[in-house]
Amino acid sequence: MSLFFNHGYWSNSSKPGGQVFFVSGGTPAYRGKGGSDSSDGLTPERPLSTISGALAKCVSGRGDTVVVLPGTITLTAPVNITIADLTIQGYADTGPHVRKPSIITAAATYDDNLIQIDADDVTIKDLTFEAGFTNTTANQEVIQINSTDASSDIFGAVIENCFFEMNRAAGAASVTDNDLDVIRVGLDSNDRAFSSTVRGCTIRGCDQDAISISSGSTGALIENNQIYDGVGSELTRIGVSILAIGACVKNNFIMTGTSSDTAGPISVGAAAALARIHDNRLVARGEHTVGITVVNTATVFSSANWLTAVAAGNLVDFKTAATSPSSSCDVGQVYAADPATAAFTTATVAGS
Amino acid sequence: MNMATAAISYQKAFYFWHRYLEQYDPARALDKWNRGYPHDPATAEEIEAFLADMINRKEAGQKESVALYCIVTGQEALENPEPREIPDAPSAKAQPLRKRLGAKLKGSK
Repeated sequence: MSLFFNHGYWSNSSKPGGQVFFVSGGTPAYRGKGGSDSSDGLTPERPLSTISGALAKCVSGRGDTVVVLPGTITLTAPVNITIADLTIQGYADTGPHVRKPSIITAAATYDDNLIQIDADDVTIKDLTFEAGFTNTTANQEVIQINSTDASSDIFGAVIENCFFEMNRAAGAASVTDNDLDVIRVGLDSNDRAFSSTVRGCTIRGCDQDAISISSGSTGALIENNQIYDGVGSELTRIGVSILAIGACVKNNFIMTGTSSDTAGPISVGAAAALARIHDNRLVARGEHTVGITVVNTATVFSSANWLTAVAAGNLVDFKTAATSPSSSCDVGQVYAADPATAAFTTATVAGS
Repeated sequence: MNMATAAISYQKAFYFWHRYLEQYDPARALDKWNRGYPHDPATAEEIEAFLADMINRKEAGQKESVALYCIVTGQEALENPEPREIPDAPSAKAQPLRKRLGAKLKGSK
């Protein structure tokens, strides 16, 4: 754990110059009191009651940390982060893929982003998000990295060791009309998010794109995540959608179930190039679904990806009309693909 | 090709095709899209024409992803439909070169 207590103050050893503020999750600390934004928030015993209350005390560029104590915070509006070099984290540093006891959620009828990162070098870690909402607006996000339509870019966001539960809302049972991506890196080609990292996260039961890298948001690193559907009726459309240059997707487990060859665990889309995709374990459960789909002019370096194709499926399927693609593909291994469909040997170009 | 759908954006085409596959209520899908993407609005006629184009192409044997790509880029079919080799997938054509290189390396030992 990076937090330590010294000379009467809590510090984050990773950011020694920053201040640490505590936000109540609803369960008072031992000998502590309930959260209040009139508290100073400097110890777990005197926590603030809202994340926005903590953000109001933070200073941009100082390396401040907001710690969410055990329990559930129910949002009614997005948390909008405009403070550079800020960390928001749960109190339990239990490592990747573990569900955390610091939970952020909203009502089942919530219809907005939950977290918006609009500053450089922001880290979100060790939190659980319950985000099974009945959205009425298409493609809202649990975490939107760069949300402002202002032709400005941000750098260095890190989403680490978070658990995304896409079938619960405010602790309640699932709702099925879920229309959220989980993490969207960059808003569009004018509002980009460079060098973003998503690491050690679990995304459970997403019905859209689990991680979507928008056009222009170069240099994303997506590693050591678990993305799986089949929770209730939810079928993930795409595990990782890449529309930008220079993404690296490695060491992930991705299982998707939508039946369409436009869906699948990894999709390299229109503007992608130099994508490095390696050492992933991919499960394409849907009929005719493809492990890695490359849909346009792209340079993709793929190696040692393992695919289970429950129905017909290929490991890599290039559908580009590019005249000189320079993709390389070490196909790894394929299990249980439809024998009538040439499986991993059809890593060809132009609509194989 | 149905020219009415030639100008549709990739994001919009992708969204409505997958809503169609999920048998999602079309009116609700349209409403959701227009709330979320006010800068790229959709009309019922536009989406119906797009879906009809996709379905026709699929029935004609075109793969979904190819049909989607062609509609978004305004193509009847992929411009270069011939399968191409990729560098690390050895083919009969590539084999002799590899053999030659192998022999050369062997001989140089």
